[in-house]
Amino acid sequence: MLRLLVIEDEAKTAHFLRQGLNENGYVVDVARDGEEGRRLALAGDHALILLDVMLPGIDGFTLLGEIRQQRPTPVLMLTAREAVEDRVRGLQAGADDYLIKPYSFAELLARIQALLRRGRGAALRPTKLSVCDLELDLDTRRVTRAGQRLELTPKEFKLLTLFMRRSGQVLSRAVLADQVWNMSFDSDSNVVEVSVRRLRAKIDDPFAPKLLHNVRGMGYVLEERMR
Amino acid sequence: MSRAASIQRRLSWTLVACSVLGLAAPAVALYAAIAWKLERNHQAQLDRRVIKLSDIAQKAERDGVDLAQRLAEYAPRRPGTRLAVFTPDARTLYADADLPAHRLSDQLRTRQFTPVGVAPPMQSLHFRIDIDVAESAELLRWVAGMLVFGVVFGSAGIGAVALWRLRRELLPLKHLTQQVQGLTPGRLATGISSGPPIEELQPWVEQFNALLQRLDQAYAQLESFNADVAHELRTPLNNIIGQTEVALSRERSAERLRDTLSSNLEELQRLAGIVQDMLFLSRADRGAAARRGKPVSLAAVARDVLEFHEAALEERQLQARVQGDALVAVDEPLFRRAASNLLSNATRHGDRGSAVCVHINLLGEDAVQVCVENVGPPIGAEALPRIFDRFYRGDAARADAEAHHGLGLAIVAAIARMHNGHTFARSADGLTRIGFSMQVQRSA
Repeated sequence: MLRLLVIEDEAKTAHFLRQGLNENGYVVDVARDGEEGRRLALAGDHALILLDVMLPGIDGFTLLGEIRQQRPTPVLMLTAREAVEDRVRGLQAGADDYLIKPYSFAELLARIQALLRRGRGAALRPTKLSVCDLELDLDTRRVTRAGQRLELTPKEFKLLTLFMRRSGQVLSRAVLADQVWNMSFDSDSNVVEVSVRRLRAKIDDPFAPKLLHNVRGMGYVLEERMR
Repeated sequence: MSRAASIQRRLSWTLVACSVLGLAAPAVALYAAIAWKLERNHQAQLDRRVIKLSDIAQKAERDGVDLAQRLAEYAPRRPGTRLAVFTPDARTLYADADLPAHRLSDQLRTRQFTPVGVAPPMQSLHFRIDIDVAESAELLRWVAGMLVFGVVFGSAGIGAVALWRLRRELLPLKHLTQQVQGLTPGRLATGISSGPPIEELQPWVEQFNALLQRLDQAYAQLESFNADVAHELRTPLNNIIGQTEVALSRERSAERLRDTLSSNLEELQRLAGIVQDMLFLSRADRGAAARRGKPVSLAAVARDVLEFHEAALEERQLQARVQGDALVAVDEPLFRRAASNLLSNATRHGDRGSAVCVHINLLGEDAVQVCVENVGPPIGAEALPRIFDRFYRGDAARADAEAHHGLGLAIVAAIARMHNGHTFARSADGLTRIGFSMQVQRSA
């Protein structure tokens, strides 16, 4: 099991992070201030560190610098500050990624997994993806469900690829808009919703079981549900 | 700890200095003129004595009379003078008797001479005549005193009058200060006044009042904005609180509780969305500028954004296209966001089955205009300028309040401002055009 370190002074945040990460198969150490965070970060053997920027004691940026000098552990910074300067500063100081509060837990989980994957070196990405009887071939750009060929637009293909690659993970509308359409902001429109609905009409409506599910308030997930 | 400079003090001192100089210069000149005139009188007096004494010497020579006797006879007719005559071997031939008329002060003018027009024995005589000028010196001292008195009191008088006058003239400034002290947030628009207009103060007062006006507007806007925000947050908060309370009020199945949590999550996402957008707007308000990248084809970016909206547009059977193009350095993510918000708006309000068009036009050299046109119900003239206001939703009230929270066009306006541009909206003959301009940056 991978061990993560959460350096966060806010009790509720620390609590839900620990619980959520535990339930997703990680062992979590929590440090409640900068001093303790530094001690644990430098002593323990963590696969990844989640670091809040605003900490009592030492501030996040300083702590990040100190960790970086001694350890290559990937660091994901969490902050309530959105200023671009802060983001740049964090990344320059050696943070591997940056999330702004409020973030969705699903998004945080996805980022953690991506960082951990990166740490292990890029594995060969399969060119054929499948979930249940839905199959997608990245080389030939063919999509079939129960052996039946489906016609998708290029964006629908990209959207489905993302869903299948991260099958079982909840993807928020913001993540989809960003990854598929390169729209890197919270869109207040329902355009993603409509796009997902249309994709579902093609891959799910004529078939059973249903694979593409709404997760209320969080986004969408592609998975085979046993029910 | 240095004292603040005072106009009143400085001007008064300057005036005093000017009057001292201005009065002293003519006083000195006058003194010099009088002294010079008196000195000339003394010299003329001496000249006359020299001529008279030469005369006496000539007569004495001609008549063969004793010179000393003649001089003694003449002595009573020249009081205030003293005469001595010496022979070449420094013997005193004649000296005035020691009478009061010939006792002189130490203020003297002296002339030493040899009489003219006489023959050798007398020619070698040495005359010395002194005249008493004490009276003139006394006069001069008196004149000097009067002049110094005049200069000192004149300057002091001018200084005092100037100070008094300046105090009076600067009084309006004191009133203005008192008025400014009395200003409070809510009562800014009343402005300040210097009483009867004063040419030098008026521009300042007008500018200050204009500033107050702007502040007042900003303050009012801020207040209503705060109220709007609170109002906007109240609905989702109310939902969260209410349904959580209801859910907790009795035993529920896990399924029901999950439902409640999911619904709460939706509301919370909405709150998060509002907060994000507000932070963005406040950053723009604080003057954050766009981070312009390399020049890009706006049409290409717009087509990219159209692709994002493809499904939503198709769902409402809207045909969308991009017309025109411009190669401009913009903050691309921001431009995408603005275009996307305009398209969302057009999608919502476009008549089913009609066309939506993104127009991109260069306005001369310096600006580019981007607008989205849709066919749909007209926007009233009174609503048109307000659609870019925060949380403004047309007559549609809250019909689709859940899908968007009324900040979309305000964000477009902010992005336009960040590119030194502005927004515009037109609605006529069933066509609605909403868009914004951006300043084109010439690469240096």
